[in-house]
Amino acid sequence: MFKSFLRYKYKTLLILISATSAIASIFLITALGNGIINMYASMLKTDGDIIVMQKSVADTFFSDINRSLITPISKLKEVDSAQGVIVGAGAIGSIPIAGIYGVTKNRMPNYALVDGSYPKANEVVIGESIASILNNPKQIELMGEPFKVSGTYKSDIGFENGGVVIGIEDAERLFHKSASFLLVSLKNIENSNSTIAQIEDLNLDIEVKSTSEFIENYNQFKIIRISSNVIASISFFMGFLAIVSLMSMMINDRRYEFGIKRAMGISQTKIIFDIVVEVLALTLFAFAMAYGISIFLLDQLEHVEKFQGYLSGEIDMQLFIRLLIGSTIMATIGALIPASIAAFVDPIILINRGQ
Amino acid sequence: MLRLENISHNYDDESILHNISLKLEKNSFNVIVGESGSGKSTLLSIISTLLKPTEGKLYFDEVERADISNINHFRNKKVGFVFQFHYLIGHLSVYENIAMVTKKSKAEIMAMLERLNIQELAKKYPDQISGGQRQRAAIARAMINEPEYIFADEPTGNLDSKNSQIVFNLLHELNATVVVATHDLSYILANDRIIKLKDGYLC
Repeated sequence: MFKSFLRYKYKTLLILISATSAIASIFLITALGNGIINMYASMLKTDGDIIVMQKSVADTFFSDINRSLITPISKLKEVDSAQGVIVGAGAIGSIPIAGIYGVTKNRMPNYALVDGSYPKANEVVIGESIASILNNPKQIELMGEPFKVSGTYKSDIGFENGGVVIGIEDAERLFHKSASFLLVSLKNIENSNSTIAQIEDLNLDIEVKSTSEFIENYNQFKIIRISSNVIASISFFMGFLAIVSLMSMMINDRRYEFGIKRAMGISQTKIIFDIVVEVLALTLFAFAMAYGISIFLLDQLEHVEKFQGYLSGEIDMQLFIRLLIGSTIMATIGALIPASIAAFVDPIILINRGQ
Repeated sequence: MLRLENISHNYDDESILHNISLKLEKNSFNVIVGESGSGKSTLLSIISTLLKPTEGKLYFDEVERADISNINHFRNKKVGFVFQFHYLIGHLSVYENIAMVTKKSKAEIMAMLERLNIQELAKKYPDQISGGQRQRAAIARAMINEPEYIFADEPTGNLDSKNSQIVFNLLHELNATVVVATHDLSYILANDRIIKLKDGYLC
C-alpha cells in the first residue's frame, strides 16, 4: 500500500518536510506562549498560597503596598510565613533589560545557591544564565548603581534564572516602592478563605487572593494567554491549511491512478480507504518527527544565552493530543475532499485530466 | 450482445457524437475507424461504461447500463480495457498491476504473463520495460478476469509495426466481444466489423 511513497521518494520527502514544518511550528508557538505563563505562575506559586497586592492595579509591576503589613499578617493564626517581593526590570551591566527581584530575607532560601552567599545590603545574587552571559562578574551595575556579586543561584524558572535577586531594602531604593506584593504561606490551604478575609480587614487599599485565583484572573496572564491563543490559532489554521493543501495536491496528482483503478472496477470505497490509510501514515510519521524536532528545539532555545533563559516551552499532553487529532483530521479532510470528488467523476475524465 | 440506442454526447457546448445506434454481436471483433476528432475515443469510452453519454441508452445483454446494480463489479468481471498509453500504475510492478484487479492466484497471473510472453518482466516497473512490453502487460491486465467484453483505444498508437502486429494478433485470439478504436487499418482482418465515424456521425 505504501509503495507509492517509495516510488516517488522526492515528492514524498517534500510533503513530509512541509507537513513536519507545519506541525512543528504549531507545537513551538503554542508551547512557547504557554511557557511564559507557566514560568510566571510557578514563580508566584513558590511559597505563596495567598497573594496580597495594591487594590485595583492591573499589573504586579505597578503594584505598591506597604510591607509593614508583613508583621500583622505573620501573626494571624493560620499563617506560616509572609514574604515581601518587589518585581522590577532594568539594565543589568551590559544587558539592557532583565528581571530584578527584591525579596525579604525569609524568601532568599527559595533561590538555590550554586556558590557564594545570600546578599546583604548593596549585594546581589545572580541567576546562572546572567552569570554565564556576564562571565561570572564580581561586581555589576543594576540600573546604574554598583552592586557586589555575593553568589550565584540556580532556578528552573527561566525568568528567575535570567535575573538577579537583591534585598528588598535595596530594591525599594531602586524602584521607589515598599513592595510589589506579599506572598503568604498557610499552615493549611483549606482555611485560605477565612485568612483572606482577615488580611483584607488589615488594610482598605489591598487586594487579597489565593495565588491560584490570581493566576486565573491576572490581566497580564489574560493578555499573554489571549495573544498566545490568537497566535496559536493562526498557526493552527495556517499549519492545518498547509496540511490540507499538501494532501489535496498529493491526491490530485494521482487522479489518473484513481481513474485507472475505477476503470478496472476497483470500488470508490476501496480507493478512498487506501488513500486515507496512506495519508494517515504519512501524517503520523510527520507528527512524530515534528514532536521530536520541537522537543529538541525547545530544549536548545532554553539554553541560548541571548534569550537569558526567558524562552521556555513545554508540550503538555493536552497540546499533544489536540495537535495530533487536529493534524490527522485536517490531513484526512485534505485527502478525502479530492478523493471523494474524484470518486464521482467518470473514470475516463479522471484519466484524461490526470495525464 | 451490446446495443447502443440513440447515443449522443457533448463536451460543454461542443457536440461530439450524434444519435449513434449500434448492435455488436457476442464474440465479434469490431473496429471503430475514423479520422482524429471523429469521436472514436468518446464512443469507445461510452460503450465501455467509462463515460456516461449525454443522451441515449446502452444495453449489455438487454440490461441497461443504468440498471447494472454494481458498476464496479461489472467493470471488474465483465469488461477489460486496453488504452493507447497502457496506463499501468507507475509505482506497481507488472505483476502487481495485474494482481490489483483480480482475485486470481499467483500461478494464474504468471500463466497469463507467460501467455503474453512477458513472464520474465513480472517484477519490473512500467518505466523499466519497452512500449510493446507495457502494452502486452496492459492486455494481460485486461484479460486476467476473462471478461466478456474487451475495449481497446488506439492500442497500437505508440507501437512499431512488429509490436502492433503482435497486439492485434492477441486481440484477435480473444474469446470475447472486442471493440477497437483505431485509425490504422493495416491489421484488420476480413471478418472484422468496421464501424466508420465521421464528425460524430455513423457513416
